[in-house]
Amino acid sequence: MRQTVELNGLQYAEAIRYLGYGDAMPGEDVLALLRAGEQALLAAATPQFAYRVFSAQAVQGGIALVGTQLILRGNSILEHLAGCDQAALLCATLGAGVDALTRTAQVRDMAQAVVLDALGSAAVEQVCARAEEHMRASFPNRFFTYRFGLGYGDLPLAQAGEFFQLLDASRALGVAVTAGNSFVPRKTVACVIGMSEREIQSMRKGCATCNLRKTCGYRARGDRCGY
Amino acid sequence: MGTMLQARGLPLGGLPEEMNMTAPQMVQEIHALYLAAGADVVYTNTFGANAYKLSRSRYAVTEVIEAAVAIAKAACGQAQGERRPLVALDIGPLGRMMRPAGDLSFDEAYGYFKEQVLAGRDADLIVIETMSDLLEVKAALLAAKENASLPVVCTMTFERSLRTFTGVNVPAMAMTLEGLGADAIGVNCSMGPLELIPAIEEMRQYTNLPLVVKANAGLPDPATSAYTLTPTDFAAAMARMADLGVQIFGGCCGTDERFIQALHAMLLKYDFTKVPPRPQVTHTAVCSATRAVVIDQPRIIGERINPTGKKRFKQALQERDIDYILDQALEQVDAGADILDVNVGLPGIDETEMMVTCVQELQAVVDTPLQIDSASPAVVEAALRAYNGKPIVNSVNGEETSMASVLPLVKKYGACLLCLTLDENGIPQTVEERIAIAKRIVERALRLGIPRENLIIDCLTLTVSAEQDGAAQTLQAVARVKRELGLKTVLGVSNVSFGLPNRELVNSTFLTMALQMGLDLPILNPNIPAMTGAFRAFKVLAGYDRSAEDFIRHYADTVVKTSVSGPAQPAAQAEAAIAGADLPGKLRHAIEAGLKAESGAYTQALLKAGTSAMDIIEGTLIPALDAVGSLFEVGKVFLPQLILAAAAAQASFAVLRAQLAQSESAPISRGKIVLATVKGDIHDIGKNIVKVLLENYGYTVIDLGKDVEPQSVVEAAKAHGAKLVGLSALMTTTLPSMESTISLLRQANLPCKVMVGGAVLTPDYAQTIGADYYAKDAKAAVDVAKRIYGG
Repeated sequence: MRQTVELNGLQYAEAIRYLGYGDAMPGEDVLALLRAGEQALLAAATPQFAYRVFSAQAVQGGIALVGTQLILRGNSILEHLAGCDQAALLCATLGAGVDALTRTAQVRDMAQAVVLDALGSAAVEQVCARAEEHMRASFPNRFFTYRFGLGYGDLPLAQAGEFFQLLDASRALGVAVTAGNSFVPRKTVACVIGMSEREIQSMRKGCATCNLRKTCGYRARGDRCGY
Repeated sequence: MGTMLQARGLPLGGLPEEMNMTAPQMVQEIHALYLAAGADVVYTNTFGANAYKLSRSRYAVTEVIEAAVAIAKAACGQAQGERRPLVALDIGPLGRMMRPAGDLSFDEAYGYFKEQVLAGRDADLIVIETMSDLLEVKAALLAAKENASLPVVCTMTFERSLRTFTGVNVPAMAMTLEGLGADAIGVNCSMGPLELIPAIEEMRQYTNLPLVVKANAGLPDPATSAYTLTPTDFAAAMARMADLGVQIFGGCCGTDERFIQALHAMLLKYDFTKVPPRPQVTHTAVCSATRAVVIDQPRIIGERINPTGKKRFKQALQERDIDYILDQALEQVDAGADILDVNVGLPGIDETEMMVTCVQELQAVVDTPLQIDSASPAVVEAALRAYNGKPIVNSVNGEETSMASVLPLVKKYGACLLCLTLDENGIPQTVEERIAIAKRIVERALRLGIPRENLIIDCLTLTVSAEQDGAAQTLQAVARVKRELGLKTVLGVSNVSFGLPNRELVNSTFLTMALQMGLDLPILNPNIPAMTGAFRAFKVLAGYDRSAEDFIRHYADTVVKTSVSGPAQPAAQAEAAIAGADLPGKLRHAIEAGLKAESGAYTQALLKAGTSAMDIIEGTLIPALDAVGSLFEVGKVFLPQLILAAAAAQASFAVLRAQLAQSESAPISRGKIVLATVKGDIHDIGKNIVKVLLENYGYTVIDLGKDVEPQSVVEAAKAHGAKLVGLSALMTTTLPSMESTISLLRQANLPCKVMVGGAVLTPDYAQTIGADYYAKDAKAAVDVAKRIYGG
């Protein structure tokens, strides 16, 4: 399944959170950057997603996707997909235009670039949410886990290459991975969603599986980022 | 081929190319099916047979490709029919993204493709297909042309927007690949034939090459992902392509031998004699990968990226301050430049390396086509190789050595060329002699196969204060080149007024006169409103700017001063306000509030009032930044505001630097710091935030960029004698290369401290890998710098 997405607006609240504001509200100067950034980002983005559903089987060391050579490795993914008989691989991206926009902004106006970066992160989450909506509509009688990103917990980011190949992501979405396992375009998300016949009692998204928990500024203040 | 192999048992995610080794018979049978269906060309099963994609295979590139070519040849050998079918070596995208978006360098990409080309030398032709990055196609095409003598077909994949995933548009693709010597170009994959009609309609306006369409079987059904066209519908839709002059036809995703059979049957019956001949493309045009500029009306070439006579620019080159050069580019583009001249020649710097760096960095941030300006053919060639698109080369002249060295480069890389009408005897006085030189160059270029429309003649502007009749000679020469040679013309405009007062007035008048004589490409400083104003006004008066749309957009809000002795102008009022009391307090407030323009203006005023640059920095700039930094630390001010304050300080620093460069004082620096995002990591926004802050505390930052080799960090730290090195990494996967960079720095025994930062780092981990400091954010990095350098 591949689809292009039209974003009509961006969720400022998310972007403001990524900028470290917590509960504080930005002043007019930063709000102006958000408005300008939103306009530029919506013009430059070519948001798309692709997903593919596989039968999932717990095996030694991870989850095997039936009919493929890929085994999603680690305990985190085993826990995440516990009780699921299927797993959807989802990739969502804003496209290369946003990378170019952010590169130029970093030369022109670093504050605008930082705001664009945060807006981009919010936007790609919005694309993921749209993909999830699509999935729920396509599989009406199934229950879904939350989106478990490559690199969360002990699910290795190094599996991104194989993950993208199964989605034909380079041809379908123009997405690739670098030697250091960064995604290109930058604002790209790759994640796994478990599917089951029964309601899933899975742990909530939160600090436990977050790789940033040791350095997180929110946690240091006794706060939560809200994810 | 991939779909066919999957239908025959290739597991999802498996490597289709391995089947050449494990199931050659099966691959040959698939070829045979297509040949029996009437195919004239079969693509080898080598789409992903490159060293990157096969890195997880037990087979090597060469054996896989040699086997694939042998299999395809065997299938062709057994084919029935009169015509011998051809074997095409199929080359797909590498699967890694090239810089600047990704981490793959041009030379690495070239190396991968070269290996494929050499292994496939027994094929009859080479196809480079399903590409979305023009620079990757260029690497592949050059690898093919330089390592084989086979015809090369290039096809790219476009979205509905008629752009590829990386933003390449159809005109840029067509003119670049034709220039680089492709034998046929076109579109594959993407969409169905009907959806591809607009792409082909556009492509034929930008190339004279044979056109190729290898379409999908329509669009995939959103629910089932199955393709929508039947073989008969597909063939009927492809007939529309033949109507447009397409000569090579094929099927991509969702098609099989039945589609090729239907296509073959349609083409057998198709009456090609009824197809009207394609219009010949003869316009002059240049492009970047994402923007084409057709010289069908006057266009501005911005002249500011050039160190000649500019102290600040020379300093930037010596300090490798690439951001300064990028700023110069953006400023000119904003002011109205259509093309940017790039000259970075300066004694004492490696011009080749600097030119290539600038071309790459400029192309990462502006889509404006570039004009490569160097006297050295080696520099020109290196830049032509690195350039993504079709540039202009500045320049060749009538001297034998110039023509012999420059013309072959321009031919090989398909660039446009500025031809200076001078030779070993200097600049001729008369129009006649200049025309003669132009003719000589044109004749030589045509003999080499350079298309006439790629030649742009420079009739040379002389300084009117030295040779008053020179201007008239130049203008007449422009008119005659247009009339007699039918070629485009270029002139550097700014030198005409040298030695005269009110140079703008002379320059803008000369510009208007030259445009009226037929000048197409004035080289000028677009930041001077009088020049762009004269240019835009001319375009209205000459009928290029229809309905004066562009002119009105630029000048609708302009208030024209009609008298110099009227009431006080707003600017004067502002100046009066600035000159008031407590300038340092005002500057401090402007920085804290992130007000760029005000910061610059107050700094200017402070300098005027006699405050020294160092006093401004130590007394006002740094305390203001410190105040914002402290608020940031306690969560009262957030990242965007911190950066806004830094940017305001930057505006202040820019004023101080310009002043110091003018007075030839030593540049301001509180110490040198080398910054890099480590090898393997392409996330540089965090590092760039740190850089902005450090620079605005007065430190000189040597920014090595992203994905930096450990050795380069060591070399830079050594060369600059930096006491502090900052390393950034965002990914857990790139932390090891941070560690190896630190250990290499230690091995080199350099007296420098290392600070590290990045989302996944912890203070503990920083210590484990041997860093001296962990900086949790940009403010913390400044605190480290203060500890090292004091202050």
